[in-house]
Amino acid sequence: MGAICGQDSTKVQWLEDIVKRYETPLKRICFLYLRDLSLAEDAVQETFLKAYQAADTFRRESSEQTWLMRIAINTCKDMRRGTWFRYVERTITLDMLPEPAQPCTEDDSLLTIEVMKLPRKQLEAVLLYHYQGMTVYETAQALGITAPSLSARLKKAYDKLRSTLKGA
Amino acid sequence: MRQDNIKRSLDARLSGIQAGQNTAWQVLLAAQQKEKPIKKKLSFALAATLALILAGVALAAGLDVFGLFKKDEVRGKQLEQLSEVAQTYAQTTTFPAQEEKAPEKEAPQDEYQRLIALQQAQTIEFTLQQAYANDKSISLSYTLKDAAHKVSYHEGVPSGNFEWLHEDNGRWADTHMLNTDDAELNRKVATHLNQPGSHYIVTQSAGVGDGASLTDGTDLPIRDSQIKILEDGSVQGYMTCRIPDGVSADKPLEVELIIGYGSMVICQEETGHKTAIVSNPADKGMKRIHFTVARSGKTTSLSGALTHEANSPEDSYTAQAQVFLSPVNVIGAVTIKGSQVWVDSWQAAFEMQDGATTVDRIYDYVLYAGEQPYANRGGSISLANNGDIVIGLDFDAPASGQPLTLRPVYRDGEAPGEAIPLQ
Repeated sequence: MGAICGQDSTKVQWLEDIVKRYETPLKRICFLYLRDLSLAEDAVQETFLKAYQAADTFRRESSEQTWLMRIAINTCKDMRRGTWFRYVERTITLDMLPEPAQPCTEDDSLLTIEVMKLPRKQLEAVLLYHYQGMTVYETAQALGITAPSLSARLKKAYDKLRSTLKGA
Repeated sequence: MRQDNIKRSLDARLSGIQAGQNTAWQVLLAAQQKEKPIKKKLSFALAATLALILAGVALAAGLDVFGLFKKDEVRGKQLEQLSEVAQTYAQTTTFPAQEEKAPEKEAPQDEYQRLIALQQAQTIEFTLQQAYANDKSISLSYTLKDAAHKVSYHEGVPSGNFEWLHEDNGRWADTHMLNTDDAELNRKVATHLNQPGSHYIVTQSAGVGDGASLTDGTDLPIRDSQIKILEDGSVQGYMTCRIPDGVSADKPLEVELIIGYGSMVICQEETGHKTAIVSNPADKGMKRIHFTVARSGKTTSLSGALTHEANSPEDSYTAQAQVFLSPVNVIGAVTIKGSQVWVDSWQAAFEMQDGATTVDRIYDYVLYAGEQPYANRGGSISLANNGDIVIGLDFDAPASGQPLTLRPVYRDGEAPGEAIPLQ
Protein backbone atom coordinates (compact mmCIF):
# COMPACT_ATOMS: atom_id res chain seq x y z
CA MET A 1 0.00 0.00 0.00
CA GLY A 2 2.94 2.22 0.22
CA ALA A 3 1.81 4.49 3.00
CA ILE A 4 1.07 1.96 5.70
CA CYS A 5 3.63 -0.78 5.28
CA GLY A 6 6.08 0.32 7.86
CA GLN A 7 6.78 -0.58 11.42
CA ASP A 8 3.98 -2.16 13.42
CA SER A 9 3.77 0.99 15.46
CA THR A 10 3.03 2.94 12.29
CA LYS A 11 0.34 0.45 11.40
CA VAL A 12 -1.19 0.69 14.85
CA GLN A 13 -1.16 4.45 14.61
CA TRP A 14 -2.90 4.21 11.24
CA LEU A 15 -5.52 1.89 12.73
CA GLU A 16 -6.18 4.30 15.58
CA ASP A 17 -6.53 7.09 13.06
CA ILE A 18 -9.05 5.34 10.81
CA VAL A 19 -11.03 4.12 13.82
CA LYS A 20 -11.22 7.68 15.09
CA ARG A 21 -12.35 9.06 11.76
CA TYR A 22 -14.64 6.37 10.41
CA GLU A 23 -16.08 4.33 13.26
CA THR A 24 -19.23 6.41 13.59
CA PRO A 25 -20.30 6.45 9.90
CA LEU A 26 -19.40 2.77 9.56
CA LYS A 27 -21.44 1.87 12.59
CA ARG A 28 -24.43 3.75 11.18
CA ILE A 29 -24.28 2.05 7.79
CA CYS A 30 -23.87 -1.37 9.44
CA PHE A 31 -26.83 -0.64 11.73
CA LEU A 32 -28.97 0.29 8.72
CA TYR A 33 -27.98 -2.97 7.08
CA LEU A 34 -28.20 -5.31 10.06
CA ARG A 35 -30.95 -3.59 12.11
CA ASP A 36 -29.14 -4.48 15.29
CA LEU A 37 -26.70 -2.24 17.11
CA SER A 38 -24.86 -5.12 18.71
CA LEU A 39 -24.36 -6.85 15.36
CA ALA A 40 -23.39 -3.52 13.79
CA GLU A 41 -20.66 -3.11 16.41
CA ASP A 42 -19.39 -6.62 15.58
CA ALA A 43 -19.45 -5.80 11.87
CA VAL A 44 -17.51 -2.57 12.39
CA GLN A 45 -14.88 -4.35 14.46
CA GLU A 46 -14.64 -7.02 11.76
CA THR A 47 -14.30 -4.30 9.13
CA PHE A 48 -11.40 -2.65 10.91
CA LEU A 49 -9.82 -6.04 11.50
CA LYS A 50 -10.00 -6.87 7.78
CA ALA A 51 -8.67 -3.43 6.93
CA TYR A 52 -5.81 -3.84 9.40
CA GLN A 53 -4.93 -7.25 8.00
CA ALA A 54 -5.20 -6.03 4.39
CA ALA A 55 -3.48 -2.73 5.02
CA ASP A 56 -0.48 -3.73 2.95
CA THR A 57 -2.63 -4.13 -0.15
CA PHE A 58 -4.44 -0.85 0.19
CA ARG A 59 -3.44 1.70 -2.43
CA ARG A 60 -3.21 5.22 -1.11
CA GLU A 61 -4.51 6.73 -4.35
CA SER A 62 -7.98 5.35 -3.70
CA SER A 63 -10.41 6.71 -1.16
CA GLU A 64 -9.81 5.26 2.28
CA GLN A 65 -13.40 5.92 3.26
CA THR A 66 -14.83 4.20 0.18
CA TRP A 67 -12.53 1.25 0.72
CA LEU A 68 -13.69 0.87 4.32
CA MET A 69 -17.36 1.31 3.38
CA ARG A 70 -17.07 -1.47 0.85
CA ILE A 71 -15.40 -3.80 3.33
CA ALA A 72 -18.21 -2.98 5.77
CA ILE A 73 -20.95 -3.71 3.25
CA ASN A 74 -19.31 -7.02 2.32
CA THR A 75 -18.96 -7.89 5.99
CA CYS A 76 -22.63 -7.13 6.60
CA LYS A 77 -23.58 -9.21 3.55
CA ASP A 78 -21.61 -12.12 4.96
CA MET A 79 -23.31 -11.73 8.32
CA ARG A 80 -26.72 -11.62 6.70
CA ARG A 81 -25.90 -14.73 4.70
CA GLY A 82 -25.13 -16.50 7.95
CA THR A 83 -27.48 -19.14 9.20
CA TRP A 84 -28.17 -17.29 12.36
CA PHE A 85 -29.39 -14.21 10.54
CA ARG A 86 -31.51 -16.28 8.19
CA TYR A 87 -33.86 -17.49 10.82
CA VAL A 88 -33.87 -14.70 13.34
CA GLU A 89 -35.96 -12.21 11.46
CA ARG A 90 -35.31 -8.61 12.25
CA THR A 91 -37.62 -5.69 11.95
CA ILE A 92 -37.31 -2.54 13.94
CA THR A 93 -39.93 -0.07 15.08
CA LEU A 94 -39.61 3.64 15.62
CA ASP A 95 -39.21 3.59 19.38
CA MET A 96 -36.42 1.04 19.10
CA LEU A 97 -34.03 3.28 17.18
CA PRO A 98 -31.25 4.72 19.32
CA GLU A 99 -32.12 8.14 20.70
CA PRO A 100 -30.82 10.82 18.32
CA ALA A 101 -28.06 13.05 19.65
CA GLN A 102 -29.14 15.99 17.52
CA PRO A 103 -32.53 17.44 16.58
CA CYS A 104 -34.29 15.52 13.88
CA THR A 105 -37.72 15.64 12.32
CA GLU A 106 -40.47 13.07 12.28
CA ASP A 107 -39.75 12.63 8.55
CA ASP A 108 -36.15 11.75 9.39
CA SER A 109 -37.34 9.03 11.73
CA LEU A 110 -39.93 7.64 9.35
CA LEU A 111 -37.49 7.65 6.45
CA THR A 112 -34.87 5.81 8.51
CA ILE A 113 -37.36 3.13 9.48
CA GLU A 114 -38.60 2.75 5.91
CA VAL A 115 -35.07 2.44 4.55
CA MET A 116 -34.25 -0.24 7.11
CA LYS A 117 -37.38 -2.17 6.18
CA LEU A 118 -36.38 -2.40 2.53
CA PRO A 119 -35.65 -5.89 1.23
CA ARG A 120 -31.94 -6.73 1.26
CA LYS A 121 -31.25 -6.15 -2.42
CA GLN A 122 -33.05 -2.81 -2.47
CA LEU A 123 -31.33 -1.79 0.76
CA GLU A 124 -27.89 -2.54 -0.71
CA ALA A 125 -28.74 -0.43 -3.75
CA VAL A 126 -29.97 2.49 -1.63
CA LEU A 127 -27.02 2.34 0.77
CA LEU A 128 -24.42 2.30 -1.99
CA TYR A 129 -26.17 4.75 -4.29
CA HIS A 130 -27.65 7.22 -1.80
CA TYR A 131 -25.67 6.83 1.39
CA GLN A 132 -22.31 5.94 -0.09
CA GLY A 133 -22.89 8.32 -3.01
CA MET A 134 -21.76 5.95 -5.75
CA THR A 135 -23.02 6.47 -9.31
CA VAL A 136 -25.55 4.14 -10.93
CA TYR A 137 -22.74 2.70 -12.98
CA GLU A 138 -20.50 2.12 -9.95
CA THR A 139 -23.33 0.76 -7.83
CA ALA A 140 -24.48 -1.70 -10.50
CA GLN A 141 -20.97 -2.98 -10.97
CA ALA A 142 -20.25 -3.19 -7.27
CA LEU A 143 -23.37 -5.30 -6.83
CA GLY A 144 -22.58 -7.44 -9.88
CA ILE A 145 -25.83 -6.60 -11.62
CA THR A 146 -26.84 -4.72 -14.71
CA ALA A 147 -27.89 -1.09 -14.71
CA PRO A 148 -31.53 -1.94 -15.57
CA SER A 149 -31.59 -4.39 -12.68
CA LEU A 150 -30.23 -1.68 -10.39
CA SER A 151 -32.77 0.80 -11.71
CA ALA A 152 -35.53 -1.72 -11.07
CA ARG A 153 -34.27 -2.21 -7.50
CA LEU A 154 -34.03 1.52 -6.86
CA LYS A 155 -37.45 2.10 -8.38
CA LYS A 156 -38.97 -0.55 -6.15
CA ALA A 157 -37.23 1.07 -3.19
CA TYR A 158 -38.55 4.50 -4.15
CA ASP A 159 -42.07 3.13 -4.46
CA LYS A 160 -41.80 1.86 -0.90
CA LEU A 161 -40.21 5.05 0.37
CA ARG A 162 -42.36 7.47 -1.61
CA SER A 163 -45.04 8.12 0.94
CA THR A 164 -42.43 8.72 3.62
CA LEU A 165 -40.34 10.92 1.39
CA LYS A 166 -43.05 13.41 0.61
CA GLY A 167 -41.59 16.70 1.70
CA ALA A 168 -38.18 15.23 2.48
CA MET B 1 -36.27 12.73 -3.75
CA ARG B 2 -32.75 14.01 -3.33
CA GLN B 3 -29.74 11.90 -2.52
CA ASP B 4 -28.43 14.36 0.08
CA ASN B 5 -31.86 14.40 1.74
CA ILE B 6 -31.75 10.66 2.32
CA LYS B 7 -28.21 10.80 3.69
CA ARG B 8 -28.98 13.85 5.81
CA SER B 9 -32.11 12.24 7.27
CA LEU B 10 -30.32 9.00 8.07
CA ASP B 11 -27.37 10.79 9.66
CA ALA B 12 -29.69 12.99 11.76
CA ARG B 13 -31.85 10.14 13.02
CA LEU B 14 -28.88 7.91 13.75
CA SER B 15 -26.86 10.64 15.42
CA GLY B 16 -27.14 8.71 18.67
CA ILE B 17 -24.94 5.99 17.25
CA GLN B 18 -21.45 7.05 18.12
CA ALA B 19 -17.99 5.57 18.27
CA GLY B 20 -17.09 3.21 21.11
CA GLN B 21 -14.32 3.66 23.64
CA ASN B 22 -11.90 0.85 22.90
CA THR B 23 -12.52 -0.21 19.33
CA ALA B 24 -8.94 0.07 18.12
CA TRP B 25 -7.72 -1.89 21.12
CA GLN B 26 -10.33 -4.60 20.51
CA VAL B 27 -9.33 -4.84 16.84
CA LEU B 28 -5.68 -5.25 17.79
CA LEU B 29 -6.63 -7.90 20.32
CA ALA B 30 -8.72 -9.75 17.70
CA ALA B 31 -5.85 -9.52 15.22
CA GLN B 32 -3.72 -11.56 17.61
CA GLN B 33 -6.29 -14.34 17.79
CA LYS B 34 -6.06 -16.85 15.01
CA GLU B 35 -9.49 -18.41 15.30
CA LYS B 36 -12.91 -16.91 15.55
CA PRO B 37 -15.80 -18.53 17.39
CA ILE B 38 -17.97 -20.60 15.07
CA LYS B 39 -21.69 -20.27 15.46
CA LYS B 40 -23.79 -23.36 15.38
CA LYS B 41 -25.30 -24.11 12.01
CA LEU B 42 -28.83 -24.97 11.13
CA SER B 43 -30.06 -27.06 8.24
CA PHE B 44 -30.62 -24.78 5.29
CA ALA B 45 -34.07 -25.98 4.39
CA LEU B 46 -35.38 -25.51 7.88
CA ALA B 47 -33.75 -22.13 8.18
CA ALA B 48 -35.25 -21.05 4.88
CA THR B 49 -38.62 -22.21 6.05
CA LEU B 50 -38.50 -20.40 9.33
CA ALA B 51 -37.31 -17.29 7.58
CA LEU B 52 -40.57 -17.23 5.71
CA ILE B 53 -41.38 -13.61 5.05
CA LEU B 54 -44.93 -12.46 4.85
CA ALA B 55 -44.45 -10.74 1.53
CA GLY B 56 -48.05 -9.69 1.10
CA VAL B 57 -51.50 -10.92 1.88
CA ALA B 58 -53.60 -12.11 -1.03
CA LEU B 59 -57.34 -12.10 -0.88
CA ALA B 60 -58.28 -15.60 -1.95
CA ALA B 61 -56.76 -18.80 -3.15
CA GLY B 62 -56.94 -19.48 -6.86
CA LEU B 63 -55.64 -21.94 -9.38
CA ASP B 64 -53.73 -19.37 -11.43
CA VAL B 65 -50.91 -18.76 -8.99
CA PHE B 66 -48.57 -17.39 -11.68
CA GLY B 67 -51.26 -14.82 -12.47
CA LEU B 68 -51.22 -13.74 -8.83
CA PHE B 69 -47.82 -12.17 -9.43
CA LYS B 70 -48.34 -10.69 -12.89
CA LYS B 71 -48.24 -7.12 -11.58
CA ASP B 72 -44.63 -7.62 -10.49
CA GLU B 73 -42.59 -4.83 -12.07
CA VAL B 74 -39.65 -6.93 -13.13
CA ARG B 75 -41.10 -10.36 -13.83
CA GLY B 76 -44.74 -9.45 -14.42
CA LYS B 77 -44.72 -9.91 -18.19
CA GLN B 78 -43.01 -13.30 -17.95
CA LEU B 79 -45.39 -14.47 -15.21
CA GLU B 80 -48.37 -13.38 -17.28
CA GLN B 81 -47.01 -15.49 -20.14
CA LEU B 82 -46.43 -18.38 -17.75
CA SER B 83 -50.03 -18.24 -16.56
CA GLU B 84 -51.09 -18.69 -20.19
CA VAL B 85 -48.79 -21.54 -21.19
CA ALA B 86 -48.54 -23.50 -17.92
CA GLN B 87 -50.53 -26.68 -17.50
CA THR B 88 -52.86 -27.00 -14.54
CA TYR B 89 -52.01 -29.91 -12.27
CA ALA B 90 -54.03 -29.29 -9.07
CA GLN B 91 -52.25 -32.30 -7.63
CA THR B 92 -52.27 -32.52 -3.84
CA THR B 93 -49.82 -34.42 -1.66
CA THR B 94 -50.70 -34.80 2.01
CA PHE B 95 -48.40 -35.89 4.81
CA PRO B 96 -50.72 -36.84 7.64
CA ALA B 97 -49.82 -36.39 11.27
CA GLN B 98 -47.31 -38.96 12.50
CA GLU B 99 -49.05 -42.05 13.80
CA GLU B 100 -48.68 -42.91 17.45
CA LYS B 101 -46.96 -46.24 17.90
CA ALA B 102 -47.88 -46.78 21.51
CA PRO B 103 -51.49 -47.71 22.13
CA GLU B 104 -51.72 -45.14 24.88
CA LYS B 105 -49.49 -42.18 24.35
CA GLU B 106 -48.03 -40.66 27.45
CA ALA B 107 -48.62 -36.99 27.98
CA PRO B 108 -45.54 -34.86 27.18
CA GLN B 109 -43.39 -34.50 30.26
CA ASP B 110 -41.98 -31.10 29.45
CA GLU B 111 -42.30 -28.23 27.00
CA TYR B 112 -39.65 -29.59 24.65
CA GLN B 113 -41.53 -32.85 24.33
CA ARG B 114 -44.79 -30.98 23.88
CA LEU B 115 -43.31 -29.05 20.95
CA ILE B 116 -41.93 -32.24 19.41
CA ALA B 117 -45.42 -33.71 19.70
CA LEU B 118 -46.77 -30.57 18.05
CA GLN B 119 -44.47 -31.16 15.06
CA GLN B 120 -45.46 -34.79 14.87
CA ALA B 121 -49.14 -33.84 14.91
CA GLN B 122 -48.77 -31.43 12.01
CA THR B 123 -50.39 -32.27 8.69
CA ILE B 124 -48.57 -30.95 5.63
CA GLU B 125 -50.68 -30.41 2.53
CA PHE B 126 -48.93 -29.34 -0.67
CA THR B 127 -50.71 -28.76 -3.96
CA LEU B 128 -48.83 -28.43 -7.23
CA GLN B 129 -51.05 -25.92 -9.01
CA GLN B 130 -49.36 -25.24 -12.35
CA ALA B 131 -46.17 -26.19 -14.11
CA TYR B 132 -44.37 -25.36 -17.31
CA ALA B 133 -41.16 -27.02 -18.40
CA ASN B 134 -39.11 -26.81 -21.54
CA ASP B 135 -35.57 -27.98 -22.19
CA LYS B 136 -33.96 -25.12 -20.24
CA SER B 137 -36.15 -24.31 -17.27
CA ILE B 138 -39.06 -25.44 -15.16
CA SER B 139 -41.59 -23.19 -13.43
CA LEU B 140 -43.90 -24.45 -10.70
CA SER B 141 -46.67 -22.83 -8.73
CA TYR B 142 -48.07 -24.28 -5.54
CA THR B 143 -50.22 -23.87 -2.47
CA LEU B 144 -48.98 -24.95 0.94
CA LYS B 145 -51.90 -25.14 3.32
CA ASP B 146 -51.83 -23.65 6.79
CA ALA B 147 -48.18 -22.66 6.54
CA ALA B 148 -48.03 -19.05 7.75
CA HIS B 149 -46.49 -18.14 11.08
CA LYS B 150 -48.55 -19.07 14.10
CA VAL B 151 -47.35 -17.60 17.37
CA SER B 152 -48.23 -18.77 20.85
CA TYR B 153 -47.38 -16.95 24.07
CA HIS B 154 -46.16 -18.52 27.29
CA GLU B 155 -44.94 -17.61 30.76
CA GLY B 156 -41.74 -18.74 32.43
CA VAL B 157 -38.82 -20.61 30.87
CA PRO B 158 -39.61 -23.62 28.65
CA SER B 159 -38.65 -26.87 30.31
CA GLY B 160 -36.84 -29.72 28.64
CA ASN B 161 -33.81 -30.53 26.60
CA PHE B 162 -33.65 -27.48 24.32
CA GLU B 163 -30.49 -26.88 22.32
CA TRP B 164 -30.20 -23.12 22.54
CA LEU B 165 -28.59 -21.88 19.35
CA HIS B 166 -28.14 -18.33 20.44
CA GLU B 167 -27.93 -16.68 23.83
CA ASP B 168 -27.36 -13.02 24.41
CA ASN B 169 -27.67 -10.42 27.12
CA GLY B 170 -30.38 -7.79 27.05
CA ARG B 171 -33.89 -7.76 25.70
CA TRP B 172 -34.66 -9.58 22.47
CA ALA B 173 -37.54 -7.28 21.66
CA ASP B 174 -35.28 -4.23 21.75
CA THR B 175 -33.63 -5.22 18.52
CA HIS B 176 -35.26 -8.35 17.12
CA MET B 177 -38.78 -8.72 15.85
CA LEU B 178 -40.52 -11.23 13.68
CA ASN B 179 -40.12 -10.01 10.14
CA THR B 180 -43.73 -9.66 9.19
CA ASP B 181 -45.61 -6.65 7.94
CA ASP B 182 -48.16 -7.42 10.61
CA ALA B 183 -47.46 -4.56 13.02
CA GLU B 184 -50.07 -5.86 15.46
CA LEU B 185 -48.29 -9.22 15.67
CA ASN B 186 -44.94 -7.54 16.25
CA ARG B 187 -46.42 -5.32 18.94
CA LYS B 188 -48.00 -8.31 20.65
CA VAL B 189 -44.72 -10.25 20.64
CA ALA B 190 -42.77 -7.29 21.99
CA THR B 191 -45.33 -6.61 24.71
CA HIS B 192 -45.31 -10.22 25.79
CA LEU B 193 -41.53 -10.55 25.92
CA ASN B 194 -41.07 -7.21 27.66
CA GLN B 195 -43.13 -8.16 30.68
CA PRO B 196 -41.27 -8.49 33.99
CA GLY B 197 -40.06 -12.00 34.70
CA SER B 198 -39.46 -14.75 32.16
CA HIS B 199 -41.63 -15.28 29.10
CA TYR B 200 -41.32 -17.03 25.80
CA ILE B 201 -43.04 -17.33 22.46
CA VAL B 202 -43.26 -20.26 20.06
CA THR B 203 -43.66 -19.73 16.32
CA GLN B 204 -44.76 -22.50 14.04
CA SER B 205 -44.47 -22.31 10.24
CA ALA B 206 -43.82 -24.25 7.07
CA GLY B 207 -42.47 -23.35 3.65
CA VAL B 208 -41.12 -24.71 0.41
CA GLY B 209 -37.33 -24.67 0.25
CA ASP B 210 -35.75 -22.71 -2.58
CA GLY B 211 -34.71 -24.78 -5.57
CA ALA B 212 -35.60 -28.31 -6.57
CA SER B 213 -33.92 -31.46 -7.75
CA LEU B 214 -34.67 -34.42 -9.96
CA THR B 215 -35.19 -37.76 -8.28
CA ASP B 216 -31.87 -38.93 -9.79
CA GLY B 217 -30.17 -36.27 -7.67
CA THR B 218 -29.65 -33.66 -10.39
CA ASP B 219 -29.82 -30.22 -8.83
CA LEU B 220 -32.18 -27.66 -10.39
CA PRO B 221 -30.78 -24.29 -9.27
CA ILE B 222 -33.34 -21.64 -8.49
CA ARG B 223 -33.63 -18.58 -10.73
CA ASP B 224 -36.64 -16.83 -9.28
CA SER B 225 -39.33 -17.29 -6.65
CA GLN B 226 -42.00 -15.36 -4.80
CA ILE B 227 -44.67 -16.16 -2.24
CA LYS B 228 -47.87 -14.64 -0.95
CA ILE B 229 -49.72 -15.43 2.25
CA LEU B 230 -53.42 -16.02 1.90
CA GLU B 231 -55.96 -14.89 4.44
CA ASP B 232 -56.54 -18.48 5.55
CA GLY B 233 -52.86 -18.90 6.46
CA SER B 234 -51.93 -20.85 3.33
CA VAL B 235 -48.92 -19.86 1.26
CA GLN B 236 -49.05 -19.59 -2.50
CA GLY B 237 -45.91 -19.18 -4.50
CA TYR B 238 -43.93 -20.08 -7.53
CA MET B 239 -40.37 -20.90 -8.39
CA THR B 240 -38.45 -21.11 -11.62
CA CYS B 241 -35.40 -23.35 -11.78
CA ARG B 242 -32.75 -23.89 -14.40
CA ILE B 243 -32.44 -27.31 -15.98
CA PRO B 244 -28.75 -28.11 -16.37
CA ASP B 245 -27.24 -29.32 -19.62
CA GLY B 246 -27.20 -33.09 -19.85
CA VAL B 247 -30.77 -33.62 -18.71
CA SER B 248 -32.79 -35.29 -21.45
CA ALA B 249 -34.97 -32.69 -23.16
CA ASP B 250 -37.72 -35.11 -24.11
CA LYS B 251 -38.56 -37.09 -21.00
CA PRO B 252 -40.93 -35.82 -18.31
CA LEU B 253 -39.19 -34.44 -15.25
CA GLU B 254 -39.35 -36.39 -11.99
CA VAL B 255 -39.10 -33.54 -9.53
CA GLU B 256 -38.41 -33.45 -5.81
CA LEU B 257 -39.17 -30.45 -3.60
CA ILE B 258 -38.39 -30.08 0.08
CA ILE B 259 -40.87 -28.66 2.51
CA GLY B 260 -39.47 -27.50 5.80
CA TYR B 261 -41.56 -27.12 8.93
CA GLY B 262 -40.75 -26.45 12.53
CA SER B 263 -40.94 -24.19 15.54
CA MET B 264 -38.75 -21.41 16.80
CA VAL B 265 -38.70 -20.70 20.53
CA ILE B 266 -37.65 -17.30 21.83
CA CYS B 267 -37.26 -16.99 25.56
CA GLN B 268 -36.74 -13.71 27.39
CA GLU B 269 -35.43 -13.81 30.94
CA GLU B 270 -34.57 -10.87 33.18
CA THR B 271 -30.96 -10.63 32.07
CA GLY B 272 -30.89 -12.12 28.59
CA HIS B 273 -32.64 -13.98 25.80
CA LYS B 274 -32.13 -17.24 23.97
CA THR B 275 -33.48 -18.90 20.85
CA ALA B 276 -33.94 -22.53 19.83
CA ILE B 277 -35.30 -24.44 16.86
CA VAL B 278 -37.49 -27.47 17.43
CA SER B 279 -38.04 -29.89 14.57
CA ASN B 280 -39.51 -33.35 14.26
CA PRO B 281 -36.62 -35.79 14.93
CA ALA B 282 -38.21 -38.34 12.60
CA ASP B 283 -37.56 -36.25 9.49
CA LYS B 284 -35.52 -33.31 10.85
CA GLY B 285 -38.37 -31.00 9.90
CA MET B 286 -38.27 -31.83 6.20
CA LYS B 287 -40.79 -33.52 3.94
CA ARG B 288 -39.92 -34.53 0.39
CA ILE B 289 -42.55 -34.08 -2.31
CA HIS B 290 -42.29 -35.97 -5.60
CA PHE B 291 -44.23 -35.30 -8.78
CA THR B 292 -43.87 -35.58 -12.55
CA VAL B 293 -43.91 -32.55 -14.81
CA ALA B 294 -44.46 -32.95 -18.55
CA ARG B 295 -42.33 -31.05 -21.04
CA SER B 296 -44.94 -28.70 -22.40
CA GLY B 297 -42.61 -26.50 -24.41
CA LYS B 298 -39.33 -26.32 -26.25
CA THR B 299 -36.92 -23.51 -26.75
CA THR B 300 -35.47 -22.32 -30.02
CA SER B 301 -31.74 -21.79 -29.96
CA LEU B 302 -30.21 -18.76 -31.65
CA SER B 303 -26.61 -17.70 -31.64
CA GLY B 304 -24.35 -14.99 -32.90
CA ALA B 305 -20.79 -13.74 -32.66
CA LEU B 306 -18.86 -10.53 -33.05
CA THR B 307 -15.21 -9.54 -33.20
CA HIS B 308 -14.69 -5.91 -32.34
CA GLU B 309 -11.42 -4.27 -33.28
CA ALA B 310 -11.21 -1.02 -31.34
CA ASN B 311 -8.64 1.72 -31.69
CA SER B 312 -7.13 0.60 -28.41
CA PRO B 313 -6.27 -3.09 -27.91
CA GLU B 314 -7.62 -2.75 -24.38
CA ASP B 315 -11.11 -2.20 -25.80
CA SER B 316 -11.02 -4.93 -28.45
CA TYR B 317 -12.93 -8.11 -27.76
CA THR B 318 -14.74 -11.08 -29.22
CA ALA B 319 -18.23 -12.04 -28.11
CA GLN B 320 -20.21 -15.25 -28.50
CA ALA B 321 -23.93 -15.15 -27.80
CA GLN B 322 -26.34 -17.99 -27.36
CA VAL B 323 -29.98 -17.50 -26.44
CA PHE B 324 -32.99 -19.75 -26.05
CA LEU B 325 -36.41 -18.44 -27.04
CA SER B 326 -39.60 -19.67 -25.43
CA PRO B 327 -43.11 -18.23 -25.21
CA VAL B 328 -42.18 -17.00 -21.73
CA ASN B 329 -38.78 -15.42 -22.12
CA VAL B 330 -35.42 -15.28 -23.84
CA ILE B 331 -32.59 -16.56 -21.69
CA GLY B 332 -28.94 -17.16 -22.46
CA ALA B 333 -25.56 -15.55 -22.14
CA VAL B 334 -22.92 -13.58 -23.97
CA THR B 335 -19.37 -14.78 -23.38
CA ILE B 336 -16.77 -12.08 -23.92
CA LYS B 337 -13.07 -12.58 -24.37
CA GLY B 338 -11.76 -9.15 -23.49
CA SER B 339 -8.46 -7.59 -22.58
CA GLN B 340 -6.74 -8.25 -19.25
CA VAL B 341 -7.68 -4.69 -18.32
CA TRP B 342 -11.35 -5.62 -18.61
CA VAL B 343 -10.86 -8.84 -16.69
CA ASP B 344 -8.96 -7.08 -13.90
CA SER B 345 -11.56 -4.35 -13.64
CA TRP B 346 -14.36 -6.91 -13.29
CA GLN B 347 -12.40 -8.79 -10.68
CA ALA B 348 -11.90 -5.53 -8.82
CA ALA B 349 -15.58 -4.67 -9.16
CA PHE B 350 -16.65 -7.97 -7.63
CA GLU B 351 -14.27 -7.35 -4.76
CA MET B 352 -15.61 -3.80 -4.44
CA GLN B 353 -12.17 -2.36 -4.82
CA ASP B 354 -11.56 1.24 -5.69
CA GLY B 355 -10.80 2.04 -9.29
CA ALA B 356 -12.97 -0.86 -10.46
CA THR B 357 -15.27 1.32 -12.45
CA THR B 358 -12.77 3.60 -14.14
CA VAL B 359 -12.51 1.19 -17.08
CA ASP B 360 -15.36 1.60 -19.55
CA ARG B 361 -16.34 -1.85 -20.78
CA ILE B 362 -19.50 -3.75 -21.70
CA TYR B 363 -21.63 -4.43 -18.66
CA ASP B 364 -25.02 -5.31 -20.16
CA TYR B 365 -26.92 -6.14 -23.34
CA VAL B 366 -30.28 -4.98 -24.64
CA LEU B 367 -32.29 -7.26 -26.92
CA TYR B 368 -33.78 -5.64 -29.99
CA ALA B 369 -36.64 -7.22 -31.93
CA GLY B 370 -36.56 -4.98 -34.94
CA GLU B 371 -36.51 -1.51 -33.37
CA GLN B 372 -38.23 -2.60 -30.14
CA PRO B 373 -35.82 -2.79 -27.17
CA TYR B 374 -36.16 -5.30 -24.32
CA ALA B 375 -34.25 -4.70 -21.08
CA ASN B 376 -32.29 -7.45 -19.38
CA ARG B 377 -34.54 -8.46 -16.46
CA GLY B 378 -32.30 -10.60 -14.38
CA GLY B 379 -28.94 -10.40 -16.03
CA SER B 380 -25.94 -11.42 -13.99
CA ILE B 381 -22.28 -10.83 -14.65
CA SER B 382 -19.63 -13.35 -13.78
CA LEU B 383 -16.01 -14.07 -14.46
CA ALA B 384 -15.17 -17.61 -15.56
CA ASN B 385 -12.00 -19.32 -14.36
CA ASN B 386 -10.43 -18.84 -17.80
CA GLY B 387 -11.06 -15.09 -17.65
CA ASP B 388 -14.13 -15.07 -19.89
CA ILE B 389 -16.65 -12.42 -18.92
CA VAL B 390 -20.11 -13.96 -18.96
CA ILE B 391 -23.15 -11.68 -19.08
CA GLY B 392 -26.38 -13.52 -18.33
CA LEU B 393 -29.45 -12.64 -20.36
CA ASP B 394 -33.09 -12.79 -19.34
CA PHE B 395 -35.54 -10.85 -21.50
CA ASP B 396 -39.30 -10.84 -21.82
CA ALA B 397 -40.45 -12.79 -24.86
CA PRO B 398 -40.32 -10.41 -27.85
CA ALA B 399 -42.84 -9.98 -30.62
CA SER B 400 -42.31 -12.77 -33.10
CA GLY B 401 -41.20 -12.34 -36.65
CA GLN B 402 -38.72 -9.56 -36.03
CA PRO B 403 -34.96 -9.98 -36.49
CA LEU B 404 -33.22 -10.18 -33.12
CA THR B 405 -29.99 -8.42 -32.20
CA LEU B 406 -28.11 -7.85 -28.95
CA ARG B 407 -26.68 -4.40 -28.37
CA PRO B 408 -23.91 -4.01 -25.81
CA VAL B 409 -24.21 -1.30 -23.17
CA TYR B 410 -21.27 0.77 -22.01
CA ARG B 411 -21.15 3.49 -19.38
CA ASP B 412 -22.29 6.09 -21.91
CA GLY B 413 -25.04 3.95 -23.37
CA GLU B 414 -25.71 1.39 -26.06
CA ALA B 415 -23.29 0.74 -28.91
CA PRO B 416 -25.43 -0.11 -31.98
CA GLY B 417 -22.27 -0.55 -34.07
CA GLU B 418 -21.31 -3.55 -31.92
CA ALA B 419 -24.70 -5.30 -32.10
CA ILE B 420 -24.67 -9.08 -32.39
CA PRO B 421 -27.22 -10.42 -34.88
CA LEU B 422 -28.88 -13.61 -33.69
CA GLN B 423 -29.87 -16.41 -36.02
